Amino acid sequence: MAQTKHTGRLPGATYAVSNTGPLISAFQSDSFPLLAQIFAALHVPGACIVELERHGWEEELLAAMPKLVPLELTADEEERALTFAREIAQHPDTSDPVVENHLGEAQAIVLALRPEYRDDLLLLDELAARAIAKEAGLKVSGFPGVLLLATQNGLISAEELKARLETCRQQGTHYGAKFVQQVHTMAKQGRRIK
Amino acid sequence: MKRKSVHEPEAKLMSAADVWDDAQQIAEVLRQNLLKAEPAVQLQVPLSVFLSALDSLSQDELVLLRQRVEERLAA
Repeated sequence: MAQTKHTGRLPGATYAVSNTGPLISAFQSDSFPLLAQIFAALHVPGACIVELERHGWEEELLAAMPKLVPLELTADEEERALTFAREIAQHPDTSDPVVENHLGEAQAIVLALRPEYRDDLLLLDELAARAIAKEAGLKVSGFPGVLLLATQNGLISAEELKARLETCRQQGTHYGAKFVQQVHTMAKQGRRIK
Repeated sequence: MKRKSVHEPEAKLMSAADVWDDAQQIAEVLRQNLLKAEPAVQLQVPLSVFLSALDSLSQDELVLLRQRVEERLAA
């Protein structure tokens, strides 16, 4: 199922490399079509595919193809990912020191560091992994940021954004009620909160 | 409603302010990539022409424009 390389690129298009968390949020809230509308494709490393299958999202994974493209890392890249996973596990913003539990984020970071993604985005929600990815020079966004962009571009309303984040929250994604309210307020008012 | 499990349910996530910055970054990346798709030329447009062009914008386009203006004024 998985490829090693991303071949071919549409002119003017933006691609996203994604970690597990944003994809689960997209599946929970039926937002994958929205992601596919914004990005030409979403490229996902093998460790994230394993995590998605382990959490029961096989059906959604299959339905998301070919807009969702599983990619395998090379042996060297897997080594680099292990180093990133260790850094994430030791980061002050994580409460999970188990290195293996951060392989998905780490593989997504390594994949996004390939030269062909230099003009693209990495989708990550976890604070520690985002910090490490930014230190590595990557352009990072989370799933709520994609929804907010969608409201700013008129693709969904502020109320739809709130409903989608709330759906994720109710299904166990760690978006707090206050966080959802704040993002909703920004979507309605069109301005950043302090 | 789907009842499936999430990954790292206790992980610390980004703040609402980060979400705003994320959206701005995505918009900028999308814009930059679109610009690369075809060569762009700089045009000098009289302000009056620009203002009259507003009459042809849709409701959604006007909302976007208002957001952009408010951001610039707040900066």
